[in-house]
Amino acid sequence: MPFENTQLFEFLQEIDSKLEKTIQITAVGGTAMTLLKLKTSTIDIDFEFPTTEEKLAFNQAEQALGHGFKIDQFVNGQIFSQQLPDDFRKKTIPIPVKLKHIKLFALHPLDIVVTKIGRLNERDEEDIADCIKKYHITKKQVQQRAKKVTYTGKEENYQYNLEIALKKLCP
Amino acid sequence: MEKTEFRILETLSRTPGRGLSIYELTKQIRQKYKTGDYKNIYEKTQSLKKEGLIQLDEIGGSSICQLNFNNYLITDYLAQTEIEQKKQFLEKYSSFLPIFEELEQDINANYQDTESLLILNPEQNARLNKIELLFILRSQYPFTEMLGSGKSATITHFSAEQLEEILEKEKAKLYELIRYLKIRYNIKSNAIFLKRKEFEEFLQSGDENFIKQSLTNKIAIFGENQFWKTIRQQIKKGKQFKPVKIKNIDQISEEEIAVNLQRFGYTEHGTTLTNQTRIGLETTIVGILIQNKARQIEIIPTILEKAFQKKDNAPNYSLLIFLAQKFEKLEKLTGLLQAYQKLKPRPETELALQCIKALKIKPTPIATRSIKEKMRLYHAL
Repeated sequence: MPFENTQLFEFLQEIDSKLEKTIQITAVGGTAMTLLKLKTSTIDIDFEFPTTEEKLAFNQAEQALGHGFKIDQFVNGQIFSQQLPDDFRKKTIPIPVKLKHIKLFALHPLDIVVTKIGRLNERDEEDIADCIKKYHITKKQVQQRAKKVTYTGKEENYQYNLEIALKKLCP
Repeated sequence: MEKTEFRILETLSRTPGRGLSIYELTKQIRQKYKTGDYKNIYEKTQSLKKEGLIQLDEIGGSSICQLNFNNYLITDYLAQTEIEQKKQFLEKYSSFLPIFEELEQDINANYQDTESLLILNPEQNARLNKIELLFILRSQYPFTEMLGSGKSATITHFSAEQLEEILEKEKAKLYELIRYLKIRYNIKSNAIFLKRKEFEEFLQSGDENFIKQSLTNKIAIFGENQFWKTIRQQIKKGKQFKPVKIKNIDQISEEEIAVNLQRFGYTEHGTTLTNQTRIGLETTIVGILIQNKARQIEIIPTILEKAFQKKDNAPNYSLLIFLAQKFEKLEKLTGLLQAYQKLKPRPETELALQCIKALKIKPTPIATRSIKEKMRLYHAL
């Protein structure tokens, strides 16, 4: 079932009730876009954690709850096949939540764009277009940011996709 | 029904064998509904008493209220509270509407031996993208036999044993339904299938068990009236069904497991045992799987066999499968059941393994040697 913000927050409330110390979660991909109201719902949940310890604490809470969500989890800025530049965390957008043990952020739309370029399927293209339109992201910004991303797959594939994205999706 | 009256009946319905003081009633209403005025609740209990729907007894200076099952209409009112709860749940979690619709259609078309269907811990499970169901199957005549293509015939000429076998096979088909729900709606699904007689036995048991616990937080979404008739029958028979204090399975202590293992025929030397809560066999087994101590896990086939040997105390595989799946231990349980079936074949275990097969579970391989030794040592083989 696609998830909306309310569902996501309710799920995080349940996770929060099982945590013993504070962790930081950065929503990435479609989850970040849903939190930033760039789309109404997302099929998967994608979270990034600053450290492996925080991810493990989250995993323990998940196990205690036995939930039915599919959550892709990343650590330290390695999102899908892209390693984001070190400053990405400073650009993340805080999401106000009344949770005791979770600090929630959303990846900045510019970083959402560069993390979707690696795959660039039809859904990714739509998401990139929405991010660019609603956050007035320029072609130059995408180009400069993409230069700082390290792609763990074939670099030429990323470059090829980047050219398509710049041509097709950036004003 | 007026809102406060509904909330009073709904709150009392969570512990049907137990009375609540008006203070406690108000507290529980406030906890669930985030609002509740003591004076208003007090007044409404008086009017519900006048209607004969609740009993009010003065005990130690407090007014204790409980549902009045001597009133013929109480089951209709309680069925109404279930319908109202279902409505409120679907208003909040509208994505469950197609699931409920499909379940009802399937029951009417293919699983007509279903008397009632409950959704357990509905709100928390909805938040976690899960659905947990309790199917209560009829256990008396007439049974229906499916003839394929949704047609059915009412059969009354089978023996009681044959009819039992039909119901057990129906359970196996129902597991396929649960797996289908998981795939179709991308939601974690789990279910218990109990014949009405089994359901009643769990209610009457002196042990803590998940079935009693589940009644404190459920919504009947099919056969609401029949469900409450079953509860009323139990209470009117004088079988005081009072939920005991329930702990979550993953919070059961090692000591509690050790004490209860002793009841089931296994003693660990060197254990100092104090007075502990009686926990049902199925709950104890899943508690062992959660704690993951190898020497106790190896004993599971032994205590299952000892339970079967006691005849009236046979394990309920449907509940065991449900709890194991709930706590993600079904793979290990399946491996143990396969080992057990190799050493001491039983039709019940074979049927349980067929049900698990419908869920497409990959069993954890278990070495049978140490299990065999334990079973011999404890005269289970």
